[in-house]
Amino acid sequence: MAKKILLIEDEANQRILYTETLEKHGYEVESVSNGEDGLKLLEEKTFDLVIVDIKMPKMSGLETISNILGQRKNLPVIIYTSYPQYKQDFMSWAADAYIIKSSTSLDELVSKVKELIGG
Amino acid sequence: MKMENKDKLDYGIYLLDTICRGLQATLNADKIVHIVLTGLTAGASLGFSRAALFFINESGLLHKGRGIGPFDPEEAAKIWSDLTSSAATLEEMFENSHRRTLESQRFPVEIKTITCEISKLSDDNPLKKAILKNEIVVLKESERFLVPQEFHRFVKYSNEVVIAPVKISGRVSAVVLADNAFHQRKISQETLSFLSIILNQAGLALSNAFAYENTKHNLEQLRHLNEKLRQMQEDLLVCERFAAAGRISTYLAHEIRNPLATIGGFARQILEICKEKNVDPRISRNARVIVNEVRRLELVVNNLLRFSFKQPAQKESIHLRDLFDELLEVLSININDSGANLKMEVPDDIYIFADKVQLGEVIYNIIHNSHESMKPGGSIFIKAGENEKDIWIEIADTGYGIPEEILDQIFNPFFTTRSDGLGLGLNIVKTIVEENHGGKIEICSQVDVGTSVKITFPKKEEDGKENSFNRG
Repeated sequence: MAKKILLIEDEANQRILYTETLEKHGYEVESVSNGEDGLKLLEEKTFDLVIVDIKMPKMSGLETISNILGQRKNLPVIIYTSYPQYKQDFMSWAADAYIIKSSTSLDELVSKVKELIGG
Repeated sequence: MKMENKDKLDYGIYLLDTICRGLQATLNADKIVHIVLTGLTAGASLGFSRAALFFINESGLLHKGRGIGPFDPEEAAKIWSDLTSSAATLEEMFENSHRRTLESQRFPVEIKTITCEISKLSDDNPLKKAILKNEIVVLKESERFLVPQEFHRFVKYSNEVVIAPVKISGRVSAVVLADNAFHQRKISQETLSFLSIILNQAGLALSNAFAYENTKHNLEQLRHLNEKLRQMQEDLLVCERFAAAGRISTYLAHEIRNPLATIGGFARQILEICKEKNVDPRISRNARVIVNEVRRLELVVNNLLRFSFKQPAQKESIHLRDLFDELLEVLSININDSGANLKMEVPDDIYIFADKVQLGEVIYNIIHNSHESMKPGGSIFIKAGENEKDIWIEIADTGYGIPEEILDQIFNPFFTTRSDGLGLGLNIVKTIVEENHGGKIEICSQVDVGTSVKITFPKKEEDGKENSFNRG
């Protein structure tokens, strides 16, 4: 059975890109455009991993992660962002991985997902 | 002298008047001393054949002596003859042009060398008495050797010696010694009265001169401080402007990064689709152009961000060959398309403990520079290796090379020889290699032959877990 990933990303085009890429690698992906919707979906359904952007309207990625960890302490989380300067801030507590968005390759994202939940 | 025939009293008053006017007309301490000494020794009225003035510092040291007059009878005759033939007025003699003649004799020259500590003199020493009591002391011929030892050689020909204190700014800060050597005329009470008036005036003039010097010095210091302050304000404004520009560029960089990731990502998907299916090769080529151009833009944005925020390295164990393969996947096609050759010799078993993103930027910046400086048909060679202590990467090209005179500037931020570059690339490369990874970077270059960049990283105990993202 395919592993389920929740993608919280406010950029519509990036949602399509990451969803297609991860689905191609056999994952089932549901995506939402903000943290609030992401938390609602987490209450309704079970996911194996969450990928979350930092800079988002309504609820920032950081606030979203705090809430996720409140609900599901052991759920793996990947921060996927264009902001390299927060990397060290999130290192020890917030997430299992901090990946900087790049135009060159999505390989790092895919391999980190594989490392965390297999598949 | 022109006034030689006037009677003594008239001449004394003329002398006094001329000296006082001379003293009032200047704020130069040097000139004041010269006027006093010249006035005391000029003509027959005051009757002094030699005079010397010494300053006394706050520790009681008598020093900085200045004198006018002959050392011995032979010099006296010569000076007398020179001055008579020159027929100079007293005012003319006050001018500095005459100082050289008057002060080049043995007496003034030797006076300059004298120092004497007042506190070491006995209390009944006439010099000490004159200074402490602030009164004029006259030594008769028999008493003249009561002056301190240092002055004995000068009083040999003296008949009488006068020691007179000079009060400057409320303190006896100078003393005048004068005598009647050579003509032996007795020093009269009138002469002493004139001397007292002249020295009072001299004291006032010197007080003003020193106060003026002091004010001038303070003013100069104030001007200097003001200039410094102005410069600092300017620097601050420049800093603020830079900071504002930094904030704007950081904001822009972030706003650009997101769409770049999207454009690049979709272009890569098109490339992959082209690989899988048999589609028009122009679609594949065009997608590759998009990927390359996006990567170039991303490099500019990354360099800007890297320059604005110094980020420590998040090190992990990286397979070096895989990193090169990933970086060169598209870049190599671009290089080959431009007619250049790319040769890579990176062993498959090298792992480097570094920040993957930062190391990627280092390599990409160097290869990008090589490619930009490439001659048609040129080559880029990439090599890597390791020894006991280090891992090294060498990127060499057969490009135009870097002129020797700018080689030491290439790491400076915003230094560029290209019209399209920001000049941040090599500065960031150096920061990442040396500050973030403790490595070093060496560049060898020869114009029209090429450039070789060698970066060396110290080996670390491989510990991939150290920097993994385990949440606590």
